[in-house]
Amino acid sequence: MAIQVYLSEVLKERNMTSKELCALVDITEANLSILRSGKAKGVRFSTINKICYYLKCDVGDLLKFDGNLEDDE
Amino acid sequence: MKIKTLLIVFSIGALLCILAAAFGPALSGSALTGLMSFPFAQVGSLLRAMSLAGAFGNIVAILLYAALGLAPLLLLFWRVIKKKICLEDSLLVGLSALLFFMMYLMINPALISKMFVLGSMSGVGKAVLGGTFYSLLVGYLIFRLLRRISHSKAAEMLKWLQLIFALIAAALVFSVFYLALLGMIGNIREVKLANTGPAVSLAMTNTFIVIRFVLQQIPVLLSVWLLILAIKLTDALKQDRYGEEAVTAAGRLGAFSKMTVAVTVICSIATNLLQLIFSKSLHTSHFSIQVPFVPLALMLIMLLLAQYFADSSRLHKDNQLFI
Repeated sequence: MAIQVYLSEVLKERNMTSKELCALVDITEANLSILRSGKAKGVRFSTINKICYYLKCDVGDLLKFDGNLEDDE
Repeated sequence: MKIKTLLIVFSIGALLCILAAAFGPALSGSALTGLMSFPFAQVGSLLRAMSLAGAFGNIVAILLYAALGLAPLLLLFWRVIKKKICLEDSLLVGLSALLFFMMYLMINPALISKMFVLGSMSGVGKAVLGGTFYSLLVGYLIFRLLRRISHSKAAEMLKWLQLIFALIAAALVFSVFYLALLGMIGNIREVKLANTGPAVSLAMTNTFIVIRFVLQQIPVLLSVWLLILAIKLTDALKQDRYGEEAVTAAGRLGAFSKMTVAVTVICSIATNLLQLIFSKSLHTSHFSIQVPFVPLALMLIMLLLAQYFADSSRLHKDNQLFI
């Protein structure tokens, strides 16, 4: 996937478990797992807003572009 | 709704219908009129007998007559108290008035002959009265059902839909295994009565009557199975409207309705062709062209629904991947 997700890394830096983040953001652990593994098709603005708020980070810290173009499935 | 139970009930029903058609009495006009006036004619006779039995019996009969006539008004009163009253409840007043009028005539059947042109046949008059009452009662129940359905959620609507499908399927089973079978037996009897000559062989005619019955009833039986598949689809929709099972059930239903249309057309062609081929040895003939508009429309709806369910399921899966 051309957009890399660095959620695991940011969580490690903040010493926060995914379970704690799920409780704060109000999403299921299964959904957070989909997001972390990069299998998610999209992230809602409201979700990314909450993640950035609770992890005190920027969108660019979580998502990075690897320079490739990827076609839709 | 359990499909297995439904199939067992239909099978038992079909068997009973076959037995009734084969060994039961023929369906006469008086039996039908008797059915329509049931149980009012019987209650009327009972009240009349009680009334004529003595003063005490007369009082009891009058009280029973009043209670019967007031029953719909009591229901209306209860609905007013419960604050559940709605527009269609006004039909209860009509039902009550009709009950008073009808029961008065049932108790005094001599009056029926003065009121109806076909008065000499009081059974017909009773059937007209009973039929009017039942139509009003069914109308009231349908209006109530309409209001309930329009205010209910999808799950309850699916439940009602299942019930309606099951009722239609039951009516079709009855029509095939009793009405149509009775018609076929009657047809064989009529041909036998009309051809009494010693040199007349009716074997071919009778075989053809049976073949025609089978060919005409196959599409109806396929419609019964179509309804059972529709019940399966509603079951799947109740569990998960975006699930794979609903998509599969809708696809199966669409494919089966396509087959039903094809079989209906083939059966119609086969009936007429066979009749034409064997016309020289047949003592009865009946030509008909069946244009399966309803199965055709149903097939299109089902195929569209199958596509719609598949699209919905895909969109739902896609949506699940948006966090």
